[in-house]
Amino acid sequence: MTTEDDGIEEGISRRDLLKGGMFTAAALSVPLILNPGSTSMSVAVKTTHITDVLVIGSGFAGTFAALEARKNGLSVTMVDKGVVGWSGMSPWASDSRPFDAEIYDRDEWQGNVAMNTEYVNDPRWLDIFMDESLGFFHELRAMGAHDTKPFERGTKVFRTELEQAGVSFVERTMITGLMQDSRKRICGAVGFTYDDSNEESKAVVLSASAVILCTGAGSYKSPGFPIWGQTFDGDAIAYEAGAKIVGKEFNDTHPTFAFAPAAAYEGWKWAQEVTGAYVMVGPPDKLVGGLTLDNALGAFSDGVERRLGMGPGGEPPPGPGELPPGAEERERNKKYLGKGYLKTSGLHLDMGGPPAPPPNDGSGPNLGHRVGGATAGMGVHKSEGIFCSDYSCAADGVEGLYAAGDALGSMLCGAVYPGRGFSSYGSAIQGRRAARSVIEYLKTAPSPNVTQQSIDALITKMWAPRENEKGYSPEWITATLQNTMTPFHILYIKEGRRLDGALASIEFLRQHCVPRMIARDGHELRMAHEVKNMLLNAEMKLRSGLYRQESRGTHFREDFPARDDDNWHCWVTVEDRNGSMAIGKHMLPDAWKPDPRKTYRENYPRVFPGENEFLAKRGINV
Amino acid sequence: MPIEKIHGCIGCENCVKACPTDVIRMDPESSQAYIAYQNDCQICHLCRLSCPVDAISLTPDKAMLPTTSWG
Repeated sequence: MTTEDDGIEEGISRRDLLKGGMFTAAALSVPLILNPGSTSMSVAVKTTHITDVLVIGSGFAGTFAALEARKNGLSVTMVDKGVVGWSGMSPWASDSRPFDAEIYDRDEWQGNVAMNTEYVNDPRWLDIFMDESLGFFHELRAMGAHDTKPFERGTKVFRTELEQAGVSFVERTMITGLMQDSRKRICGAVGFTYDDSNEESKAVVLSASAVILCTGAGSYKSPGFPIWGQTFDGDAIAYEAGAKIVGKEFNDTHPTFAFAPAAAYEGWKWAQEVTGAYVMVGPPDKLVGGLTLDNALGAFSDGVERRLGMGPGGEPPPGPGELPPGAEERERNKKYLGKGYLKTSGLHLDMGGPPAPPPNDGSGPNLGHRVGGATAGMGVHKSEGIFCSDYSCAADGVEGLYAAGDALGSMLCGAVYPGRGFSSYGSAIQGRRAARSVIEYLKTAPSPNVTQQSIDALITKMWAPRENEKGYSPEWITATLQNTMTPFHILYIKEGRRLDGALASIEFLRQHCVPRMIARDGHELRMAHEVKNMLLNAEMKLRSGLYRQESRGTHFREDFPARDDDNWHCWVTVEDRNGSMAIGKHMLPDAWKPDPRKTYRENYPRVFPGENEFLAKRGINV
Repeated sequence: MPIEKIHGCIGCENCVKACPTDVIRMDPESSQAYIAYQNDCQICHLCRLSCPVDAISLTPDKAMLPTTSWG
């Protein structure tokens, strides 16, 4: 790897402005505000790195991708929007569910996951997960990952492993575009350093023979869940380079708290306070334990219950003699205890079912009961992102581009997240798999060859919000995006006209406001690119949601409130076609469809509002 | 308020590295961390968890910012 600085440092210091945050109020209240930090970025320093493999993102997927590529003698540069070891969702990853053939039944797992995810999951990816997850459990244990708290895992284990393997780090750098040669082959990426408290932002040019996107998922920076550093950046740069994106109509539905909607941490701190490996016992359940639409449907039918003691969606806690959700599953899973790898010492075993709400013992702040919608904009782990049709982790139609983890739309899960435990190990498995595909690709791939002109074009586009003298602040665009997309009647309880309305607003923001964004400093430039990516994702979600004229899993259409396997047993993809978003259907094998010998309701036990009536009108007996 | 204050910083930079939304920066003059972009704090607690001297305090309260009409 070589590094060179070929620019000069210049420009006024904005340190004093940064400290005060004095323009925040103005940014929210004045039309077409002036950009107090407007400056020509043509003099910005440009740093160039050259590597065989560029890994973007350093969580579970990125770590195992980078280690595998280094093991095979390739030079690896890892670039991260944050800092390696603290990055992305990985500091939160707790649950795992390794498959052990000694104690579990493969067919039972396949059947349960298919039913829970409503038959649009990819059984081949689940096979890969079942083949490899126990190996990763042992590897992570050998590395020492099971001897840390979740937020320490990256700094104490992953970062050390990566340093010892000789991976180069480029940190606190946001990637804004992929470099492509004349044949559209991926040859690296460009980005910028946003921390300008000590020196001005720099352009970063990363030349590589192949790129692996391990950029995670995203949300609309909705207050209430620790995913906000992730804003679908991988989807966005891949889409702009010609990749297909899949699975955007499905939603994640994590809960938060009625009186403090930004306090989702309070529901997750149990994980951060304990050292060790969390293991889900038993197979994923057919129905419970997943992130279903129940909270949103509860809010839809009854409004939100604000009395204390109520559960998610407003229902009262179980009465005397009633079993709490998941009780049967927990009882059933006791038979696995003490068998197979569950004999390993020091594990924290979760017997299944939804996580219990934190106890309200009066010691902490009164947060109110749990409500849904904390992760507005996020899709189902492993079921949204860059489309790959052949299990290689290569982006369909874009040579030299690979993806893993939540950036890859592998459809390991389907229309619902089927119980916890697939995310972090799924990412690790896919990261290594992507690296192995890259190793094969690089045996014949040509060296990167990008014109200076195309690099300069990417950099000019990247700096634009810093140079615009007036326009719209990324903060205002973000708030407008949140207000458009987050309400339950747009994102979760869908209906054609409402989706059309939201789409018109999002399209306007993308077409009119994004080219006129202003950023007064490096921090705001990052926000500008993040909201640009979030808006692209919003359009994908609205178009995919409009296109799928049925209901399935976390995709509920009031105007089409039933599953329709004849027409919609498929994945929905979007791709760029001459500047417009083209939408497509990827039909799935008949063998993945629900059992035709069973009734509709046996195959689809969850009932959508209005579903039975809708089907009865069409003469379908549930 | 989300992140409230940093009191007793020893300048290790852990919180700056841990913050997923670039809320905290290092002051080059004092070599201490300061809250640069408080509005963007999402109360994830990673800064507090990463601080070796427990210098960071947060509260769970944060309302959505009001949105005005014109930009």
